[in-house]
Amino acid sequence: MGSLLLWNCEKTEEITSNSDLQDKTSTISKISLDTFLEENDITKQEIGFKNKKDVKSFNKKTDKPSFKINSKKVLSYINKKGKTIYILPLKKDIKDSLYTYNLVIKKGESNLEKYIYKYPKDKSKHIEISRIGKTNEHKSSSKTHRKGSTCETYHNYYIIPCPCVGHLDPYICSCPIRPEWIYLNSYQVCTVDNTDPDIEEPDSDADFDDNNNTVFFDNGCRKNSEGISECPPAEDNPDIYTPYEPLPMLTIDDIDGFDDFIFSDTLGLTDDQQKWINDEENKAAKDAITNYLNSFAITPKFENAKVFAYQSVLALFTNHWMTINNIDFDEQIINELTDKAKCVYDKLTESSTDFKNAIKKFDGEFPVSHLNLIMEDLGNTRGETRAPNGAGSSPDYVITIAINSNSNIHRIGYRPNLMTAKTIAHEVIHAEMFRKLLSVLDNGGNIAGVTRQNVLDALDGDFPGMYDYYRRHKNWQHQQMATHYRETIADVLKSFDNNQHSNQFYMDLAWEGLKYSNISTWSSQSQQEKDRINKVINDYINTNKNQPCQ
Amino acid sequence: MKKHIYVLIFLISANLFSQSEKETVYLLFNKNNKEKCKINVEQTYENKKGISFVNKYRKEERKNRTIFYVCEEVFVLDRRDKIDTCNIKYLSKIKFETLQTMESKRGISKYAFKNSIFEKIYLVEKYKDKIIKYPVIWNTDLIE
Repeated sequence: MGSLLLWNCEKTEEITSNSDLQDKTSTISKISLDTFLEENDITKQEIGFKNKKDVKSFNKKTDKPSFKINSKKVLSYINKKGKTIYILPLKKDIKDSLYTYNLVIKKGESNLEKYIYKYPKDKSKHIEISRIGKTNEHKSSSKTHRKGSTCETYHNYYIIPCPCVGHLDPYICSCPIRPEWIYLNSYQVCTVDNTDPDIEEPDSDADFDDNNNTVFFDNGCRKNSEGISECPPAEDNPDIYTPYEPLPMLTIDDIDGFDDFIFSDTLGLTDDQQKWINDEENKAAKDAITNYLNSFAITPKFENAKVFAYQSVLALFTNHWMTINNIDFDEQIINELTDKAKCVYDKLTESSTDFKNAIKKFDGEFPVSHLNLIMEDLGNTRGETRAPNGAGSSPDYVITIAINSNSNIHRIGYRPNLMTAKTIAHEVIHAEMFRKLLSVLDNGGNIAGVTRQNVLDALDGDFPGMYDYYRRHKNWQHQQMATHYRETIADVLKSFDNNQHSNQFYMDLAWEGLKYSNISTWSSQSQQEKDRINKVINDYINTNKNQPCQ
Repeated sequence: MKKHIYVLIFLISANLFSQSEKETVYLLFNKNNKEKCKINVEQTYENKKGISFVNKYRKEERKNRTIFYVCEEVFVLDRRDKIDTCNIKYLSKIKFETLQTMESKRGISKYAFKNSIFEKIYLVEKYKDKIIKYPVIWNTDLIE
């Protein structure tokens, strides 16, 4: 197992496990420097930020180290206790590639305490924390172990993670085995109270719009070296205070890149996908997906939402014609249909009591969660619905409906709009059947490893109709649809078609896709009736072939 | 009496199969075989009987998916596993299933869907002096 460097500090001999890893509700946000000053009712001068000219003139007279704030962005970190800490990345006057410097400003009861956090690139070295303005004297900040300094010992730990790794949200990490922390080594952080460096204000052209402020929950999960997300235990949350709690180290690149999509790692996006979603042109998609995921961040539905979010990114990334409007976050439908198929689908959702309400007839709870509608060459098949099989045929928690886009007579372009509407309705009913099955099976979003008894137990009670059909028929979905849902399909078609034909006509069209010899409802029809229905369907297709959708 | 013994043997073997570890099975996939399969299709105006004859072995490349058909059965390439090749001399050492034997094992399996009956399924295709082993998922009943 890869090691995870965890900050775990202690005063000498006293092991504490304070870490922001365990700050369940700490939040991080980005604010502008102006907002920071306003929030604290303070000016740049009062806080000690100097302009370029003053810093240069001071430096000529003294040996003071000087820093420059390179960004107008400030990281606002609110820890679990509600204490606000501001973090600004600093650039040192003399190029120093061995350390990263942060200005840390902590809100005291009546004042702001300023610190320089000096992070060594070499992790075996000490982190130096210097409080600014304690005395007027200044000595080289590299001399840390001086009289008056206070040192604390921190420890590195390996962590054996919670078995349910991968959860972003520790609240839903309900595994019985808690993460085990294994001691690795220790290091010291020394605080020095007599540093008074010059800090130059940022350039005036480094504007930043507060409206773009991004806020996310830091639930304490971290990536280990294998890229696996590890979460703190849900219930173990020692409430231990240490004077210098570990803070996020901030570099200029971090703050500049802070607008980046924060769930990239969580969703496992590739470099290209990350680049795409962080592109300014795709900001609407990034914001919508971020908001969607944040809305599930502390709920048990997060894993499920993660799948939908990933599929959304994948669909948008793959299909450049798609916009965020193709993703229905409320109904959790990714619509990759194009041209005529999309036109018919949109009309279906708009028509009369509308598609959704019509479908609700067969058992409420429509729409199907995590439905992905795509176009694909399906050979001689008009449409197909794929259940998640645990091997990626349709991803876990996603039911895929494919509509034929090839060039034969089964393609969407050839078939009349009404028959395309029929195909979509037919496939959505399959999807709903699979969704119901998944909802009662509770099998991690797919149908892998499910036993017959699992299915029977799950359906018995909740869905007695499905239970009966599953138990008695091989082709159970079509059997059930032929017997019970043709009227539903006919109603959808009637609404779509503005009721231009008789009820019987729509009932006849609804048979398409269900006319198999092993479907008892169909095979029990007389040959005369079968011929009549087939002729109605055939004539309608021939009369209205290649119909456009407007 | 003989009949009773057969039934008993069947029940014992069925019970053993349903209780035991899942099997890894191999099925021959021979694209060059011109054998046809009679399959049931939808009864339509043009095809009132709903019967069609298709090549026994078909392979289709779809968007991000490779699909193998053996008569009516659908197998999707399992991209979690790798496609393996080995010398054709190993062909004789492989014990192949047929659709019939797989179906009968399915009949006595406790699993609900075809994707879970076997530990792994490999379609084996001859190619020049090699055989190609495609790891696949039996997906027939998960596509509607």
